Amino acid sequence: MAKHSATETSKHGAHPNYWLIGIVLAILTVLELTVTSNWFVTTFNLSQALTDFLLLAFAVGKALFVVGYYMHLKFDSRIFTVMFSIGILFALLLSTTFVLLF
Amino acid sequence: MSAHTQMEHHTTLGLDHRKLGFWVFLASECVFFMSLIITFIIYSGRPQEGPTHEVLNIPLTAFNTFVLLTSSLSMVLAVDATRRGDKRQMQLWLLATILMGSFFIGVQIFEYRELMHEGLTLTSNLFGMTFYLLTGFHGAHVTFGILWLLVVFIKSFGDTFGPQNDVPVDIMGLYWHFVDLVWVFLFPIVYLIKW
Amino acid sequence: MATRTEPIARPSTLATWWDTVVEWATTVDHKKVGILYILASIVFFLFGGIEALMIRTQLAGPELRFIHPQTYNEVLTMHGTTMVFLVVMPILTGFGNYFVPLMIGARDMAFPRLNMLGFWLFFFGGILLYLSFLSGGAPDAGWFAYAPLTDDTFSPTRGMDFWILGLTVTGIASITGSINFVVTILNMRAPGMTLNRMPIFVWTTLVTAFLILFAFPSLTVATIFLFFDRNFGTGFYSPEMGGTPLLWQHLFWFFGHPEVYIMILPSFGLISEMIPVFSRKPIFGYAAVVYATVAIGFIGFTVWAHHMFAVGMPPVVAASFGAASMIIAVPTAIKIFNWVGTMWGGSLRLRTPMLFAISFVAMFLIGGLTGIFLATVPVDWQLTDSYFVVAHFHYVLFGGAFMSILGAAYYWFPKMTGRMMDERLGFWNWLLVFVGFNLTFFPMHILGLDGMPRRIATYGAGLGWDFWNFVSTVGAYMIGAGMIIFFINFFHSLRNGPEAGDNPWEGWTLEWATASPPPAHNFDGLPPITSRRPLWDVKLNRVLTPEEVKARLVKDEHIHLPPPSFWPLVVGLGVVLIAAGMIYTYVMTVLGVLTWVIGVLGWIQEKGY
Repeated sequence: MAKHSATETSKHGAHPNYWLIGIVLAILTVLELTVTSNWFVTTFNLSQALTDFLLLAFAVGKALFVVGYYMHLKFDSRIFTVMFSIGILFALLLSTTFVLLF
Repeated sequence: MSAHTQMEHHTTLGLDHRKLGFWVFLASECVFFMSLIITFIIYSGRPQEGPTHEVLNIPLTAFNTFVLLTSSLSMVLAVDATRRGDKRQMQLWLLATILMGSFFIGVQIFEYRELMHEGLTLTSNLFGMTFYLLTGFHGAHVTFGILWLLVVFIKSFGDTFGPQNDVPVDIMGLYWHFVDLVWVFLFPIVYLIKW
Repeated sequence: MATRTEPIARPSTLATWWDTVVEWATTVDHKKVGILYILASIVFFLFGGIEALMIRTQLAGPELRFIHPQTYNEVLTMHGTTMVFLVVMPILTGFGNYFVPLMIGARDMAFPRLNMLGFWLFFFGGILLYLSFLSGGAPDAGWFAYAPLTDDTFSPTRGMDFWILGLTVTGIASITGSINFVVTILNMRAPGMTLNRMPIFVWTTLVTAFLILFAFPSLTVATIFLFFDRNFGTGFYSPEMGGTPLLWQHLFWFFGHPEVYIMILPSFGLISEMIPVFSRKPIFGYAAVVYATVAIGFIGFTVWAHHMFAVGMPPVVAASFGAASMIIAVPTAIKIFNWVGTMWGGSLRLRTPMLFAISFVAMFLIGGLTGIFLATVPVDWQLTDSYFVVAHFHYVLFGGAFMSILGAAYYWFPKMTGRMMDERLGFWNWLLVFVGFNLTFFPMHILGLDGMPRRIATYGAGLGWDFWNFVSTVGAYMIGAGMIIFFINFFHSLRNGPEAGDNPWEGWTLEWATASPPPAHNFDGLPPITSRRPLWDVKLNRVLTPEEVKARLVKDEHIHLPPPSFWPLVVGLGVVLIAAGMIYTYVMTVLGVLTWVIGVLGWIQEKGY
């Protein structure tokens, strides 16, 4: 019972550098805009598919920073991560099958 | 309140009920937004007449994206200040979040008006209906978040929140970051990628 | 622990009557909320049952004119919608509300006020749905509301809008209820009640809660699109605007198939509680049943397109959905094996709950087998949209879910009211329902194989369908008679049933460790939980002698119970006014928003969850 896990106590102790993460998020957004800019596309002659892949990769990167640090999943109980991951799992199941079906 | 602070210490997992419940709710919201997103992806790629992707104002929305990301930063700083017991900082960052959130909504309304002038409406074509429903539901979530923030902000004038009672602000933060998280995906999916 | 004899205070004057109403309208006690869920479901069951009898009367013979085809469509749609969303789901939620906290040794649900809000949303949502009959026409496009039948050309009344909004409001109730169940079950277990020791009904409720959480959002999105299509000129499902009706089908069935398991998994749980008790044996293969439950929950999300084989899809896709649908039979068969294994070698007591439980196993097995037929793509092409499908899902939902609900009603009535139900009436109730059910639905297999399409309002003579349809109608009235006996038994036993005592069935889960009906705080104290069967441990002196337990009960610390709250009612009223305003007049919506805001502000002013 009332087993206070280590994560629970460290939660209040963890102070990641939120400003730094804010800057990282901004940089990733700038990168998103860069790879879609005319200049970038003409200079590096990226295929549409690769650009889209990069964009989604940047978005996933940003999401991981937001979830891990701003939402504290990295420092909080693993159970929260499990709960949220189940949601993501079903969302991905929905999206992949729908893309295949349509 | 004593009954409930006592209850918190007796939870099986040692977790706060509200926080656990809220994460479960957010998991459910993932499927909600994914249903909207996937409809947008499927439909905006279909052949259709009328204005589509090309009328979107990407620089404006990029700017708005920065605003929302920054509001997430101020939100997390508010939560951090709550945990440190720094009431002034907490209120300051809450207020900053409210202002940036409202600015985001303001820009979105402006963007909608511009797009409607360009002929992209709810009924113009598939792109229009999926675009407005997807971004509209995100906007509705932001609006709800602003109202919730206002309540938290007003309640923060009393000695309501602090290191002993940070969960309400924490959950508010989780909601706000989740809405930001959705936008992190909406921005490339709706504005940058041509499906 | 003394047994309380009066289950519900009988009001004598207007003032006490009003007090009772206020008490129940503002309660946050999970047991009262559970009872409210069950009673409201019973009311809706009467509506749904009358609709079923109307359908069967219309189909009793060829070319009857008992009801107009349009009325038939409305009654058919409302029968399905009612039974799924307003009867089976909420009654299982009601049992869950009442018994999950008791079974895990908790004082209440994690969020008592949210719990009550869930009830109000379900109840008001159901009323909103039924208001459609008084407002120009009920929904008439079938319970799964395929586009384009739902658009404003083919469904010109506001019926479908009622359907959309009613389901959205009850959907919110399901989501809040599920969050509550997940948190309660994970976070409020009594000391010693590990996941591995939870009663199986608690496990199935947990898995069901997750299914609701991940299935309902896609229904909500699908109905939002439909609402916009009908009211704001979009064309998500209209080919003229480039949309496709297929989107509805996929979004709906992504919800709709898990929904089947949302209704059947808690029923599995009920059966898994009853069969061991009445076999006087622990359940055979506890772990297998639990893993099978989780497996069904997951696989249940990967099979939805088997509802759509006839729509046409690439062979690989059809084959994989078909294969997944057959795979889901494996965990289901494991469960059936476990129930049979539990009964095998046990000393069976054929009391009414057990009669229903055994019928469940047999009937659900038939429904499951026809399900495998239908998962076979070519067979499905032949049988889809025929009465064979109607037979199949009634064997699953009536022979399955509803039998278990009736069994659970007999099983837990003593706990909820302090009185036993009558066994003789119970036997006749079971016999009539069981025979009537098979008379009603078994012939539908034959009718389906003979090519009778489902949903038709009438049929021509001489097609070979007359006899079996008549048999089916006779069976339906037999079920009706059986249910009348149930209600007679219910009301009779409520007042005159013999006193039950704490543990009339010699069960071993924790709900039997307290008085019948349980006090507001549930337990004066809990027996120590060191296994899956705490009351057996007490009985067999494995842990503590009863005297020692009693001594332990006394020194339990003072108990805090959440105070009653008015605000769930206000918030719920606000939500339903907002929804109703979208159909009637926007003034109502404005009023609803105001009510909602007042409710929320009042809610957050109160302390507690």
